[in-house]
Amino acid sequence: MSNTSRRRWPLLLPPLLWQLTFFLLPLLFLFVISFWSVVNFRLEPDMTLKNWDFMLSRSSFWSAYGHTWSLALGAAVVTTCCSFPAACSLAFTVSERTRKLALMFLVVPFFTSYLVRVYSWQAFLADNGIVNALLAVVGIDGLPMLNSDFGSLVGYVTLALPLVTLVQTMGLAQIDRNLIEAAHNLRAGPVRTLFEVIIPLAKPSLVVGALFAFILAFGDFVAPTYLGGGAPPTLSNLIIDTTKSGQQWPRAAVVAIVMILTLVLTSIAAVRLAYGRRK
Amino acid sequence: MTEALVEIDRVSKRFGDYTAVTETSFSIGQGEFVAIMGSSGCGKTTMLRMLAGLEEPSAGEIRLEGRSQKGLPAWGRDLPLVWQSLALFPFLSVLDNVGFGLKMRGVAKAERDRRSLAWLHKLELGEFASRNVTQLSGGQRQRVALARALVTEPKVLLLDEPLSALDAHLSVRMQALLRSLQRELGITFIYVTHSQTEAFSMADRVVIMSRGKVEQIGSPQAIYRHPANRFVAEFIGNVTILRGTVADVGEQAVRLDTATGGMSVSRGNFAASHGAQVDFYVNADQIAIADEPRHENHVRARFLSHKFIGNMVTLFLEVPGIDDDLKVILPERTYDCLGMQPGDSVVASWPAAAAHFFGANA
Repeated sequence: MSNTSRRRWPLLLPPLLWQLTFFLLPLLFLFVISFWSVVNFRLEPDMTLKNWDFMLSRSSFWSAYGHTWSLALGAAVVTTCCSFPAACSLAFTVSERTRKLALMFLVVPFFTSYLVRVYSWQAFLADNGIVNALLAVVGIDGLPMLNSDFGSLVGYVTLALPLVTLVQTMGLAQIDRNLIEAAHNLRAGPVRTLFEVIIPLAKPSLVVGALFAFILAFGDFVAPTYLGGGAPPTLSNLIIDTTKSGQQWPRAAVVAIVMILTLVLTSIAAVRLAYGRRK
Repeated sequence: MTEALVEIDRVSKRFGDYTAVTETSFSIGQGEFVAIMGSSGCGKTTMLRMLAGLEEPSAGEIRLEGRSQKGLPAWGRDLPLVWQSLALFPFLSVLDNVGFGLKMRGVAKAERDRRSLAWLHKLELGEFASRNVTQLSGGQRQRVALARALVTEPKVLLLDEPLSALDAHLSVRMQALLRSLQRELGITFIYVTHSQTEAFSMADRVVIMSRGKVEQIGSPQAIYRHPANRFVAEFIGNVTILRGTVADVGEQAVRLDTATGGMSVSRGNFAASHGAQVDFYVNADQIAIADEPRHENHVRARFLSHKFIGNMVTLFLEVPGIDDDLKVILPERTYDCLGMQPGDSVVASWPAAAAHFFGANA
């Protein structure tokens, strides 16, 4: 160890302590709990595999897993597609000043609770809600939007859109304008330039943005509960149900660990996709 | 010059209050190597960007083969540009970078790979075809950029200071490559640079720009020997500008009274009357240094300093009565034989044929 790194290591202490207290220890505790038993609605330390066996052998668990995965993937795709046009115009068409202002406004949605924002969607999406009322005006019959996957997706997009737009805008704004002009110079029109140059260059920010949307949607319980109707359940619904019915914290811990592992593997795959270099 | 391929007709470009190019006109012939030279902010890059369609002129018109390019977007033009930053696509292989323009023209994969590879081999890059552009050296990337621009066989190639990032040795080799490529292909090169060495060593004609205007257009020799005005003379830096009052206009030469005595200057097509105050310049490489006058114009001067440029030496002499230093360019061997020390008093002399009036030799 060099002198400077020896002198600097105390500076590393706060983040290390932080990680230990707020991430590693709870994670470890979660892992330990997954081997405990519940006797008479009370947690008892134990060393049993029956919680793992109970959860992983059920088809209902795996269908919830599949449902959560496809909803989160859908949320990642829809959010990415919804925010890309906005990010493009923020990155390329407006002045630096306007861009900074717009990025500041992207933080504003976080001023209100996510729960409140989801509740307000109920007013729009309900069978006799605002959207259906407007559709009735143009002669379209009422569409069931609340308590469906569509409802969940609306919630996920509400949750993830500002962050994904932020990430994409930052990525797009960093693109070397010369490369865009070079594409035009080599006879690529605006649309071809978008697909041949801008999207490949923005790939890291697109993938990282989509990953954020996936992670947020995968773990979210508000949207699937209040807009998705909770049925079929997502993994987060499952955790709530498991803990509510009979204090089954160990089984909930199993679900949580599976979720964490899924997100870790997905993140690794996404980062490799984003920053993977061609050979 | 043969028939004009590119015509720039009273073109202006304004960015808000700032005028980058002012009512500029010149034309460029088929197969010419033209360098547009000037210091930064002179409008040379703006001119190139207007040719490429990356900027639209505020006024005036650019014509290619007689057709106005007005309103034609960059992607509708056939004027590939070699960028100062190279602007190679980092997410594509060397081969796909070169083939990009062909792909945009709808050339099938097999055909564009064949043509791209042929260009890579021509520029000695064949073995790097499947590499990533970030794995190449500066000189190699330079050649990839060149191949990418030339693979579509354009009539005109635009180059925006492509050698400015290379070291001197590599730059000289690239200059030779560019010059021989241009001769071989017979296409027009329009080359923007701030470097006199690059412009003068490659171009058939040099356009000197300053503050959005053309100061002089001519062959490197013509500009070097006969700068059109004070700006060009100072920019090229190979003459000393003096001032005098016309005393007598003769057949071949004009006699002037100057602060350092009477002097003869070639007349050319000079038209000024007796008593007029005029500027003239003396070519630095036509001045003799000795203990006594060798030519009819002579001044006594004090040797101040010198600097080497290649095998030539530029001397700076202080002459009583003139503000600027008198510049003298001598072969290095001649300078050695003189054995001068700073502070020495010498006599600088030159014939009337070494001194000219601005614009009198057009």
